[in-house]
Order: sequence, then structure tokens, then C-alpha cells
Amino acid sequence: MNQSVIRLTMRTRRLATFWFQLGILGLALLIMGLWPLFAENWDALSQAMGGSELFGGSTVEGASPQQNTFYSYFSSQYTSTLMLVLAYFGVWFGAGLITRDFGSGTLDVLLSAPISRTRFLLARIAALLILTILVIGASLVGILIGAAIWAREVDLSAFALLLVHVQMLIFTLAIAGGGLLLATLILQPGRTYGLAAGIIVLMFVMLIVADIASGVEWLEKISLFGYWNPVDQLGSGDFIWRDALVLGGVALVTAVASLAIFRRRDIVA
Amino acid sequence: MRDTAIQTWGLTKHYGDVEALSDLDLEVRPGEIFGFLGPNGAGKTTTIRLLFGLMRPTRGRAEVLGRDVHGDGTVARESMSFLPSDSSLYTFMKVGQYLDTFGSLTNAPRKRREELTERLELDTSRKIGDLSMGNRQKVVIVRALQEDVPVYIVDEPTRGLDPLVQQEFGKIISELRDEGRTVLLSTHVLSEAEALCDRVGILRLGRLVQVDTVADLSAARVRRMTVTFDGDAPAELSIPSISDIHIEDGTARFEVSGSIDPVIKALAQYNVVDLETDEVSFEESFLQHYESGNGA
Repeated sequence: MNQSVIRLTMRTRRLATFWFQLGILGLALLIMGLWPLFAENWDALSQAMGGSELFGGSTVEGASPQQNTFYSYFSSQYTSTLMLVLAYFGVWFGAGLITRDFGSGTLDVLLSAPISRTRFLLARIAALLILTILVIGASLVGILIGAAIWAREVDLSAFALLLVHVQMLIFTLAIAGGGLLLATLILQPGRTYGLAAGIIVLMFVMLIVADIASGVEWLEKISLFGYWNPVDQLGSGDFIWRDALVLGGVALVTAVASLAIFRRRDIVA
Repeated sequence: MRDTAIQTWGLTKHYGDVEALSDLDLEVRPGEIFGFLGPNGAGKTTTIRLLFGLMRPTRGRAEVLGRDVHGDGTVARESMSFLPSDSSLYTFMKVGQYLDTFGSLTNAPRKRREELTERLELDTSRKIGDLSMGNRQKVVIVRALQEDVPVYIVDEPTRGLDPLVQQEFGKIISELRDEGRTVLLSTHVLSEAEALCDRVGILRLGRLVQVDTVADLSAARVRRMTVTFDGDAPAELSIPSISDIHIEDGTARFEVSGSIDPVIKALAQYNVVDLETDEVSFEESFLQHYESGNGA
């Protein structure tokens, strides 16, 4: 790994990362700030919608009615939105990790320095990890602040919230890993972003189809979105290892495959 | 001291069915400026990319200062600096930030950078995206030459530079040679190679067709001349080394191979009111020369 490459990568993405952080922090505070309003009118809203799983949000077995109300609100209003934001962040960062420099011609200069390709890409992946932690950290900070101000009556565990965000981190890294793998295969930025975004949209459609159609539930298992269950962890307070292992496995395998391909591939002008 | 700074043995690169470079055997000596000449698509950039390990050869090998550029690429690149032909800039950065960033990758000495920015009159406080094409090229040049290495490989370095800056760049390159460093200068501009290089290698369709000294290069050079006479042009011009003569009214057009001195001396007997010379394209000049068997 090379610290100069890590610093350079962070420097070139810092502004976009800052805006992602600010947006996610704002979203977290907004959703938590609106919670008292929803909680006060929950029964009326629930009756109007015809059930306790308001807006299709998740509930957790064994949780108190008040907790389930919050989990349902939290999953329908926050984590489902964040899932798409983080998927976008993962595609943008992962696919752009080398294609942006290829497009601007700076990859030639970077790779002409006395740094091996493996060390170069490992440094880029390290920068991706750091910036993803910072982005997801903004969500954790926003939720913790919001919970302390607006959701004191809900018994929320800070540790469980941390687990939720660890799963979000692994999910984002899995998407970014897929983007990086495509980038090492294709190199051209436009084609890489396009294909990565297309695959993500397809996976999202697979999740929806698996949810609404019978007999195709298996589609959920081949979509990365099928392993996004943060509220289950919030309710149980336990890490859901199966989902984390699948997402972590995807992140690791795609990163290793990217390194293997990038080490040997021609960088054609 | 080593006999060669850069050496290749049968270096070959295919892109699918296309042979971009074929059996290149090249020797660049330490402390010389070696011109790598050829028209676009001749294989110059492919060779440079192979030397920096950006691509793997289909066959053959290359060494820089005795280090195999593929087997021992990281160590080989410690001795080399690359000035690519394409823009390689972060346009959102300020010039100083950009030079610092890339300088930190190779531990480039700050003093050297300051000297270069001063000589090329480059304002380091400006944002790269706001610079003209010429000033952007200066940034690329300083980024490459700020590195304190024995071998510089520069690909079409003066593109977009005004003549005064080109001249200053030439002085800097010559000073590097005088310090004992080696420069591989890839260009398709004959006058640039003639002014700067000690030897030149001419590449065509992926093959090295000739390695010459600059004196040989000048002898083979072809210029197109247009002479306007006071009154009618002479019916016949008996000047050695001119060809393709067209005489019309008071104007004569012809091509000159090699030195123009005999032409100037021969024209002195006439009343000449204007004289123009144009360098013919690389393709027209050298390729005709070498294909005709004069060189190769």
C-alpha cells in the first residue's frame, strides 16, 4: 500500500464525499426529527393504511409495540432510502476507482511511478474503505443525535445501531467491489458506470419481483439487496452473520479478482 | 558506466491481429538525447508504454539501466520519468497542488520544481482547469522533469507550446543531457529532433527502419521552396539537389534534399524578391527517402 496514493485518492474524492456525508446526515436528522409527529398519529395512520406494518416497513418478533412502530417507521422511511443512496455511492466510487484516472490520462502517470500495481490498487481500496466509513459514519452520528433528541422513549441500543451501520458498510463495499471489478475489466469510464448502474438496477428489480410475485423468491438471493436487513439487527441486537458473510464474501472476492486482473492487464491509450 | 541506458530485444506488441510494434531492437546510450521519430501510428507510443510496463509485450524484452521493465518493473521505474503525449491532469487542482501530489509519489526535490516553474513562467497558484492549452502542457512538463532520475522518456512534449517556451524546453532537455542523463524524445516534428537530438531512430509501421546521427537526418531532410523573382523566372534552374520543379510566371517551386546552402548560392545570381521554405511532412520526406533505399 502507498500512503501518497491513499492521500491522493481521498483528496480527489473529498468534495463529493463531503456532500454525500452532509446529505446522509441531513436525511438521518430529518427522519428522526419527524418521528414524534408520526408516533403521535400512528394509530390513525395505521388504521388508514389497514395494518401495523405501515408503509411496508419491517417489524421484529418479540419487540414491544412501541419498538415495532419505530422499526417500521425507520425501515420504511430511512433504511430503504439509504440502501439506494449507498448503492449509488458504491457504484460511483467503486467503478470510478481507476476509470476516472484512465479517462483523464492520469492513470498512465500514476502507474509510471515506482509503485507496483498491486500496491497501487490496494491503496485505492484502502481509500475507498476510509471514505465509505466516513459516509456511513455520518448516518450513525445523525441517527444517534436524532434518537437522543426525538426518540428518547424508544429503547434503542447504540450497539445495535452500530451493527446496523456495519452491515450498511459491508453492503456498500460489496457494491463498490462489483463496480471495481467491472472497472478493471473495461477501464473506459462511461461503459463501466453504465454497466455497473444497469446491474444494480436489475438487482433492485429482482428484489421487487421476488417480493411481489410468487414462485420467484429465489431472485432475492441472487440480488445484493436481498441481504440488506438492517432493522432485523436493530431489533435483535445481534449481528446477522449469514447476510454479512454473503456481502463480505462478495466484497472480498471482487476485490481479489480486481487485483488479479489489474496486475496483468494492458493499459491501452 | 553502462553502455546502454535503454535496450530492447525483439520487442513486439500485437493488438489482436494488428502488429503495433515488430521486433524492435533499440539501444539508447547513457547521456544522449535519442529522437524517436515516426508518423502517427508508427509505434512510438506503444514502445514507450511497453517501457513503463503499462502494457505487456507479445514477445521480446526491454531493460532500462539493466533492469527488466517487466520482470523488475517497479525498480526499473525508479530510474525513469514519463511525460505522456495525452493530457494527464487533474483540472480541479491548483498547479502547485498537482505538482506536490505527484512529486510526493516519487520524492521529487522541491528545489528542482521551483527552478522549472520559474524558467517556464508557470504560475503555481492558478487552477489547472483555468489554464490555456500551452500552460497545461507546461504543468505536464514540470511534473515529469521535476523528478531527479537518470532517464526521461518524453512523448510529443512541445505540443501546444509557443516558440519561446519550446526554446526554453529545448535548453532544459539539453542541460539534462549535459548532466549525463538520458532522454528518449518521441516526436514527429523533424526540426525538433534536428535541434535537440544526438541520434534518431525512425519508426514506421511498427518497425525501426533506421538509426541515424542528426547530421544524417539533416542530409535526408526535404524542404519545399518557393522563390519569387523580379520579373520572369529563369526558364531552367540548374541547381543540384533540387527536384519536382514547377516554374510559372515569376515564381519557381521545387523540393530541396539536404542542405539549402547550394540553393541559396545558386539563387544569388538572380534578382530574388521573396523566398519561402516549408518543411514537408514526415511521411513525404523520410518515408520516401528510406523507401527509395537511400537510407535503409
